[in-house]
Amino acid sequence: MSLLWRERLVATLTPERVHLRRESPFWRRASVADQNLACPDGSEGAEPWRASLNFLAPALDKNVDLAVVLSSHFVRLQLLPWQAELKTRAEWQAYGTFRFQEIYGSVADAWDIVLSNEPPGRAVMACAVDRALLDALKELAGERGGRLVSVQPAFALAWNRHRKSLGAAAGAFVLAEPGRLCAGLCRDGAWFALRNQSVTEPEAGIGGLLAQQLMLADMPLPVGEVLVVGLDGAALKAAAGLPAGWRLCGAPAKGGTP
Amino acid sequence: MRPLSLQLDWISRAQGRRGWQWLGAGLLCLGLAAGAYEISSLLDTNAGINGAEESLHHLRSRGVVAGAGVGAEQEALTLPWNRLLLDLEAAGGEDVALSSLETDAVKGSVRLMGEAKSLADVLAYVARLGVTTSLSGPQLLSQESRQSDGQGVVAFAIEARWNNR
Repeated sequence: MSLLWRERLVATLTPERVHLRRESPFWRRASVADQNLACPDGSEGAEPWRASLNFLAPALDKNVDLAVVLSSHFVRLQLLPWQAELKTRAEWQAYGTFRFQEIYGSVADAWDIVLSNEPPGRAVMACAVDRALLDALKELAGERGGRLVSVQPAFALAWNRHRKSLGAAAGAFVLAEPGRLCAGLCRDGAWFALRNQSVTEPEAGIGGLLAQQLMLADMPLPVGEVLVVGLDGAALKAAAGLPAGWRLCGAPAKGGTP
Repeated sequence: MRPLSLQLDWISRAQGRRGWQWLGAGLLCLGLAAGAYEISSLLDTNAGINGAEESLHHLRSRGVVAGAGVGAEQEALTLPWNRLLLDLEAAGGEDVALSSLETDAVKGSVRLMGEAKSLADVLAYVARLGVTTSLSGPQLLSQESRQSDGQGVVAFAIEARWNNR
């Protein structure tokens, strides 16, 4: 394989498995091969991503462009309210770091934060990941003569892929993974609530999570649409206990990980 | 209305667009421009060949240029006939009439035969051929006074080098 036309390997890391998707260097949507690696000994504690990384390492080919998708288990998300006095990207970055430190304390010092691009006046989505994970991924790709070209949260990729399926003025987008729900609520083109929460049974927890977020946001929304997708890209067709007036909408079936 | 796409990427945002990507885009543009130029040149060449074919056909119908075999004709069509015929047309005049044109593509020579009203007209014609771009070094090979329709004419043969490359 020419170094100018490297194969792209998309690795989705979750606590339970590593999904590998090899894409053609000429057409990214064309999957060359898919592979699932189970991680039975999912790590807990300070580095929950370590076990997935250990499974990824031997499966990583040489000279590939490595793009990594991170499960919501491995990232922290929050919405930053719009601050008119913040003018530069650096100021927003500092503000995001401060907000994470406010919530999580000094442990947030070891995180790297990335912010979404939003129009003025709208809340900005901030996402944090362990800097050690990014360093380990860079090192791993470098050892194999490849490059780390992208690291993104699964929630963002899933939203980008399915956002057009959400048609109502008010809606909720939920990424459901085993043991975790990540939900964003939006209205009139802006996010107003975001929650990344561990749950015992994701399908059963969606209704309660939405009701809780609507209440916390103090935003009366009598009707809305909920789009729930899994890591495999399939839309959930049924969810119990949705708030009154809210209904599930189906996304067109699209294979592959977010 | 729904929120915008989320560009939350720790790596691509830090790296930005690599220099070689711009280089690649530049090379692609250059390639496209070169391709467009080549296509344009091809169309011009085709138009030239069509013009030459038309002129050749016209002269042949007047009996000035003798026909040849199909293979030779195809080969001859690749030569710059159009330029030669235009030059001959421009150098000629009312006092000179060409009766035959013979070319030798291998030797790169052109032999012209015709009639003029006087030797002075023939010499003037030779001089005019000498300043054309497609011919060089025209020489008067022979000249002979004749009677044609009760009038005196000078039959001539001229040879010149054909700048056909």
